[in-house]
Amino acid sequence: MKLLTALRYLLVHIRHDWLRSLLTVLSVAAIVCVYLMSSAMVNDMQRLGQSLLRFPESLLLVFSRNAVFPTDSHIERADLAFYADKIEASFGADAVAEEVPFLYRVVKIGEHSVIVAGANYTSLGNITRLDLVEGDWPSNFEQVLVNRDFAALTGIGVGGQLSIYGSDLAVVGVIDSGLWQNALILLDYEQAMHIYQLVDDFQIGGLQLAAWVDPIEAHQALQGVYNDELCCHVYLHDHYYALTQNAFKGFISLYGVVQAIGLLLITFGAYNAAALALAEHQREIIISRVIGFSGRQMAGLLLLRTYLVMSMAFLLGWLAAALITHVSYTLNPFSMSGVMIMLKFTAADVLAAFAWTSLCTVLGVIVSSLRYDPLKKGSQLRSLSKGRAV
Amino acid sequence: MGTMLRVAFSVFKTYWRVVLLMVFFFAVAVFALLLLSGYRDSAMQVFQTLDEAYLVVHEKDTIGEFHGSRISPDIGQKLLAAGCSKAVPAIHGATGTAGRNYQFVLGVDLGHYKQVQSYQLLAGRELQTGEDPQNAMIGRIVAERDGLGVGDQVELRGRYFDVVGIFETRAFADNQVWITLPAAQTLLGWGEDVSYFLVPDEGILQAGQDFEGNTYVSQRGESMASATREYLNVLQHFSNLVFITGLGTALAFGNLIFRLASIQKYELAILRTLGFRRRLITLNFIFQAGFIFLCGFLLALVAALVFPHLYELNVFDLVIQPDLSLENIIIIFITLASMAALSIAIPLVWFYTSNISSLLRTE
Repeated sequence: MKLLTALRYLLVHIRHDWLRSLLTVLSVAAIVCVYLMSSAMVNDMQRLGQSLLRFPESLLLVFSRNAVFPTDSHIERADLAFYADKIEASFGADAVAEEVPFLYRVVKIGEHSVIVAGANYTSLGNITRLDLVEGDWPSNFEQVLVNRDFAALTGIGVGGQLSIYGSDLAVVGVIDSGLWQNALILLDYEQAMHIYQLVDDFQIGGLQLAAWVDPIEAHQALQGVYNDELCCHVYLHDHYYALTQNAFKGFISLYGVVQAIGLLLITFGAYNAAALALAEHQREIIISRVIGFSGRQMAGLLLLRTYLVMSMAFLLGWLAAALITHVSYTLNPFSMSGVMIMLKFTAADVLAAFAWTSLCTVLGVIVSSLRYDPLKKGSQLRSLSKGRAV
Repeated sequence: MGTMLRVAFSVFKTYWRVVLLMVFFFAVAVFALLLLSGYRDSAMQVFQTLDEAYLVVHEKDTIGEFHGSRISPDIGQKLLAAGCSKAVPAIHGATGTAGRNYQFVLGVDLGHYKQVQSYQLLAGRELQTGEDPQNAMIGRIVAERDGLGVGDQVELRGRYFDVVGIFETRAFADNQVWITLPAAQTLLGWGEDVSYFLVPDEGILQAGQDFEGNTYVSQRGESMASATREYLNVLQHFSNLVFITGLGTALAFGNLIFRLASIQKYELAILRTLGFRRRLITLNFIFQAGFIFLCGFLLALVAALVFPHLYELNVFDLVIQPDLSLENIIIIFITLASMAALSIAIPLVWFYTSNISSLLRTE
């Protein structure tokens, strides 16, 4: 009952003080909105860094030495055979179950960058999950497969047409694979060589190890072993993952800075709301104290009032962020590296921001009302008797 | 006026904690605004600048001016045969060790690069015809990032190049090391191949057309702009954040000034009853708001100028520094000052439309 009375009093108080309260709510709401929008982008960047290629642990990857981007790598089957021989020399015959060459290119389809991969379908099926979810397997070099992400991103599915490196191709099937989490056009290896007018020149060599070979030991055994001056480096399955993680680290940290600034501003906003309410309503506070409210009760009222204002600001900021990101996603959907940017902040982001806002509110009230008791200041009481508290 | 300023000062003295808080609150918001708009403008300048004077002939489906393109030197002869007045070869590539320490490299044609590359020499000298292939020029960002100067050595794929000059383009090239074309071909193991040819846009070729074999013609800067176009959407998101931060800053400032006015309404009402004119009361508001605005802005500006020295936005070792040019700073200052003027108007209107006896009686 007391709480309800206090709430009723504070709501009336906030309504009476509506212009000042509104300005506080709007300024803090803008910051909450910026924080949540930054969180949405951080989530997308983290997803992007994690999703491009996920090779199985049993696969060792061979790239050209010093190839920064996979597309810059150029290796041949002889290079793969060289490393397969080295592994088998160390670990015994049949240590390498399969040699899998991958062609890896990036092309623009409309405004989207998508991967073109060229690999033997059977080999691919041996190292990872490869399910045909719609249509048929290609039967000639003019037909091609795409994955579900590609179909969702570009709207081009079975029956659609694509042009790659000057060749017109018909999409005949949609696949689902554990290897790629982003938009992909999948060519058969021989078909890829034909389209790109190449002979035995690919970007990533995969060495599928037998189940009894430890990939880490095999990788260590090949350190410092080079086929020739340009080829090659052998990496563990997660090398590409680490590479992409590293690439997006800059963006993530920048948005992290924006988030930190947002949290700092929420801190200031909460303290501001408490300290200014205290400074603006001294007369009421003194009267309340004189008629019998304890210092603790006054601090409780201040906490409740500040909490109400900050909660309203938080709710408004949350709604604004949800609206802006939804409208951005609906009106201007976009992708990066073939991954759709969803612009979604999670429940955890909202909860974290609300917890921070609540904590700052409590701390703001404690700090601003610390050692503040108007009844202990004779000058304030004298001012009150003259009609004004200063 | 002197009395009014003394009143304004006395308010600051009485509520110094609140004023300090207001300055910090405003400073942090302005800092965020300066930084976000600086990064946005810088990224736009680095990736989205087109050069209409030149066309680039590079391999299809590649970002020729960034990496990935490799074409035969015969294409240069074919371009000249097609009527182009010149065809300047270049190699744009990226090197790294163990796949991590990326370095962008430009192999330049010593006979022509000064005509087609716009740059300012900051230290040392330019690469000259007949230059030792072990010599290099480095961009300002590379020099700052790796702490290199003229006379030092820069490592590319385990080979050391002597730095003879440091240049600045205020574009992507500031992240590059420039070496001679033959040195770049040897470094990458490309034989006689190059990344692309630059040809003047004389109407012989058109951007968007296929050329011989697997080559394609782009406007200079277009392949980079096209490749990074999807990053523009991130910049748009950034712009939204800048706008909302700016709005939040203006609202916060308006709120602070209004609250400050609210705290001293009793004193100001007394001054009005004593015969102080509106002009003087307005001056009081302007002085207080101006003080908070200038202190906050200066604090934010210093922090924004120091920040890039403490933090480096690095994507694939491509360093993007916020563009905090004087022009940008003045634009932001004027924009915020206009909003601040509006923020002062709100409490002024509130004060002048309030009944003086009511201001004296109530809180």
